[in-house]
Amino acid sequence: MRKILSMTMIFMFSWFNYNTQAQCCAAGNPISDDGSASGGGKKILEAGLLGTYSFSDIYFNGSHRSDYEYIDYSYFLYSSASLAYGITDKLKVTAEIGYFFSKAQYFVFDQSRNATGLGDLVFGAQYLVYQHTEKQFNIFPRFKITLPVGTFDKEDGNVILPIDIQPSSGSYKYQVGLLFSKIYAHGKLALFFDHSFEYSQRIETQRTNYKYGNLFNNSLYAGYKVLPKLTLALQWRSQYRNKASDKNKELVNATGGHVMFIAPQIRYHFWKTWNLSLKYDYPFYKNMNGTQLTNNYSVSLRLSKTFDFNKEEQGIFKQL
Amino acid sequence: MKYTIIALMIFASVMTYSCKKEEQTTTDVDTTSPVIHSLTSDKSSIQYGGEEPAIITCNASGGNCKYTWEVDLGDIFVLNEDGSQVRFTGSECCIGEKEIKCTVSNDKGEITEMVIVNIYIP
Repeated sequence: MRKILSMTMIFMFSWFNYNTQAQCCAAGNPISDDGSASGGGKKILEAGLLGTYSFSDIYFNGSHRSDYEYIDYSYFLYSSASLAYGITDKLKVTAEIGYFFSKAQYFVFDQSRNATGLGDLVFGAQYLVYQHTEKQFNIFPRFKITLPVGTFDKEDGNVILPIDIQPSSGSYKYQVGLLFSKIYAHGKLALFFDHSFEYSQRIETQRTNYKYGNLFNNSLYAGYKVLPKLTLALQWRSQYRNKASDKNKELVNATGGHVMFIAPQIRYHFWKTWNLSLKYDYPFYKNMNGTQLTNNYSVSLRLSKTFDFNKEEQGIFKQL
Repeated sequence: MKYTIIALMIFASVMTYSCKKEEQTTTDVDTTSPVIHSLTSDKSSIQYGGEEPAIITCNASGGNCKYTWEVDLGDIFVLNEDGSQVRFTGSECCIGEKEIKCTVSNDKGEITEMVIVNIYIP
């Protein structure tokens, strides 16, 4: 029972620890570090659907709010479908694909542009490398690869859209991470610390030659089960992104920076195998390189269902 | 169980894919290979931000011409109906010399020209 609780909490955390797009010209695609797909142990599959709305209209220069006006406001409406499957009790593999229903920018000079289309495809693996059963302490190394299978070089009217509004990031990305988990109060309280590094490969297409800055992510999560079916959680997340580089391999000054988020969440478990989660991401600290449009907030809703194929097998054997 | 999986897969497919029918316009015009006679910008250098855009005009012939514009960093917006004139600006992330490309195409082929506009911080 404790093991199931631990695994459930870990997979919850995996979802909470996704990348929020926070800045112009550097963030790429918000799908890149979702990890939303879950699955608790061997032969357990979790299928999930995520919807995210994100809004941005504040410029920052360094750590101060800027009165610079260029893009009036920007938003995106994004959805993703994910799967996670436990190959063994220790090894989980994940897959996820996203779609932008809208990715829009409205400028102060009465112009706007909008893009829709398929985002990136992300494959991941997570392995339980250390487990202290009594202390309920676990360590999981993890790896993810992002494949830019979606829409890139998309046009809006007669213009090929710039890189920051394309639905796909256009870049192969490789992420390595280490996740630590600790369970307290008989499974009621879960604490997690996650550290990850993401390397973005240079985009070299006929039209585009660009490299996103690499991303360093640290996060701390605390989730408390207030009722048998209801969990409240709070996450602190720190993201530092290096500057991007252009076609001449020169650093692009107004890209990258440091953003810290606070993200309260609520999760409801129902019908034995279903989960519904609501999360609000608020970037409370920003220190940007140059002047950049930054994120105000994002809201995410996720629905997931777990399929236990061990039970199915047991059922088949019983029938036989 | 089986129906739940099928329902989830259908829902995921609907969420993930959508089809947009491209508008197609055909006009009965005699066409020749497109030729760009000039690609000019009213300014060779602009301040970053949206207040002083460069107005770029492409003068081409060939019939049924489609104009496609691109730049690696910066913002282009079409100003006229046929797409032959655009405004170009950039924010702070686009400082430096920018190559704005215009491709003119029709059923006989396509041709690309480029003009350079420098974006600077005053």
